Amino acid sequence: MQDRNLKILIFFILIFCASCASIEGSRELIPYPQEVPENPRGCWIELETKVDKISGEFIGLSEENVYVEVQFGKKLYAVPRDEVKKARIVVFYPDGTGYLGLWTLLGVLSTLSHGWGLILSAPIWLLFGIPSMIGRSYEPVFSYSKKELDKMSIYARYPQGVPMEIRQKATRFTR
Amino acid sequence: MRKILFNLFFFPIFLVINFTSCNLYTVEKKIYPPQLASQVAKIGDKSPFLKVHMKDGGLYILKSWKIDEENKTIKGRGIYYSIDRNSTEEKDLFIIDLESVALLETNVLKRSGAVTAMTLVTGASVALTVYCLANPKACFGSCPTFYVWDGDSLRLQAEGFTSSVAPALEADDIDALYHAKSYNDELTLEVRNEALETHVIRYADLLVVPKGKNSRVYVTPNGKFFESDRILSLTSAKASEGDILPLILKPDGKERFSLADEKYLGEREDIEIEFLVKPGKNYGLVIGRRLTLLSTFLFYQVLAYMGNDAGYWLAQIGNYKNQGKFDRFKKAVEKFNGIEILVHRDGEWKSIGIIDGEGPLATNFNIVLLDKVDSDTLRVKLRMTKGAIRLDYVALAEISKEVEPIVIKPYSVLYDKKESPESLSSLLDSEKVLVTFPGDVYKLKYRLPKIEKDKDFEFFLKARGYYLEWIRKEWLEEENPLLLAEVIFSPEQALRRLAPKFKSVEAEMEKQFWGSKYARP
Repeated sequence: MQDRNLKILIFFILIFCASCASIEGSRELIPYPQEVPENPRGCWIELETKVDKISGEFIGLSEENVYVEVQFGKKLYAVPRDEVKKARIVVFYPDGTGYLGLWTLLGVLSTLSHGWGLILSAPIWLLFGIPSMIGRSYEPVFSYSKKELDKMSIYARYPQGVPMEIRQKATRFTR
Repeated sequence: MRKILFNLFFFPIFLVINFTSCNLYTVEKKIYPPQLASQVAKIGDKSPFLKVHMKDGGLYILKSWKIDEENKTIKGRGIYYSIDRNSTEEKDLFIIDLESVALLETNVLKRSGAVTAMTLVTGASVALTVYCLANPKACFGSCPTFYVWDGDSLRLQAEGFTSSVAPALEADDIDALYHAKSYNDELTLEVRNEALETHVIRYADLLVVPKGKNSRVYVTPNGKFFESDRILSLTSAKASEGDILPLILKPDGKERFSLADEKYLGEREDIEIEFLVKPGKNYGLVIGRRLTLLSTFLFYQVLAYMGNDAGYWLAQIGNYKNQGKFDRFKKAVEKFNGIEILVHRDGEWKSIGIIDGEGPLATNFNIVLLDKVDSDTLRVKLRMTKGAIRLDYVALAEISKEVEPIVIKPYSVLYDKKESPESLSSLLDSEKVLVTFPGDVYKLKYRLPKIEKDKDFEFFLKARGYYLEWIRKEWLEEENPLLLAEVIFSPEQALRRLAPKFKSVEAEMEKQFWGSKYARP
């Protein structure tokens, strides 16, 4: 494969990588899939309100508020439901998108051994590889509109509802 | 080289990534009220942990648990987290009253859908790779390929100097660019190196023949050009399988071919065709054909037998002491790859010559002169090796006159979309050569002469050069001078011995090589 073609291939893979889900939380704040079953905390949440954005651990819901703890216990906020435009839950850290990218790249390069067949097999690698990468990045991500907020309660630290003891520590989110 | 790279470098990394990526999981989270604890019990080990959310906000995460429905309790080993999750307590046995439980949560790990998709593609791709490694003679392989615009898109229309597999075999080669169309008084040829070969091109000239709008010009195998303004279609075409007329009536890429014989690869077959003609006219038989992969298989097999000594053996071709042996071998190859034409005259079949086979990629069109015909029905037999030829088109051309082509040299050569004066100079100077390597693509531009409005051009490519096949690693394992000697001195015996080997790959070889239809004319 000529250098130019290789550059084009890498360029396309990078372009499609840009289509992957971007997550504001760092790896330390979001568990890998295998860690989720024994994680005592809520999932990562990103809320977009009428005035600002807030992200952190999803503590739970009440009739009036969505509770978000920013940076693990530093500050608990109660975001009025009326203020919320949309919410995004990240259940686990989508590991492996880099591996899938490398897998795709090597898959395409491996088609050099297919002779004429690479005319078919190389695009097939891209057709499956790139959507797989993008799909993987969105696997743990669930988006909710304002009306659907109740559906996300299962991802909260307190799916049964936020205990009063905790609610009392919350600050109303008004930036 | 590419396959060696794949074996040594990519394949192990591929396996590591594959293995790692197989461990990509997604999580299916479910919540149950305590009244449905029995459903949680059914999930069992699928969820590695059970989360028990208490009404007061506390949380148990149990690694092993049992739901006692009779006593309405959950017993298990694990960790208790306080309401604020800051303090923990670990116990081998917690007994939790279901009455105080708010919700039960399971998290089942499932294989990522992305991995499933990639695993499917990898499986198919590895299968193809393994096939190519196991049957290297089924993959790669072509001479310099020439692509020309056909009025719609670039189409593979010629393979240059197919038989010139060594410097000593450097030769001229004329190919009809049967579907070529010019644009803005120019014609552009795209010459590609699409195989693991080194191509050495001495020149690539365009031959143009002015002709009537409704005429066609054909070239004989020995390089003479004849114009015909009346083309007669077949009235009958029969092969062993029956009527094949629809397959060879038009030059449309629909081809007639047969499978090789199971016991002897040199087995011959006949196709009988008929035309309605006017007695006293001069006719030429027009044939559009290309080879199947049988000849490619045999050629690569011979190279495999040569193994590490391939360079030595190929050099022997140029040794005048071996000329006699080589000429005999060459004739045997021509007979194997060619089509013998027999005409029915005076109650018997008379052979009027053999039209050479060319490569397996581009359909090559030639005319063979038949002299005057003295009856109103012309019967012709095409005799060829079973499974060796793909026949696209057969017609009869009424010869109008012999014509001379105009030779046009390229005026510009582009490499990587940039002008390449060095490459142009190589093609214009007969002392120099243009050497191309796998993946190279050159665009050669030609200016066409002025022509009368009621005329048109027929295009041909005249190229000279040779190519060197790269010996694949897999072939070296088959190095065998004795079997090479058998091929040279007793080709019939070799064709019998190799029959089962070819038949075992024949179907897949064609399917794989042509699966993309990329190179089909």
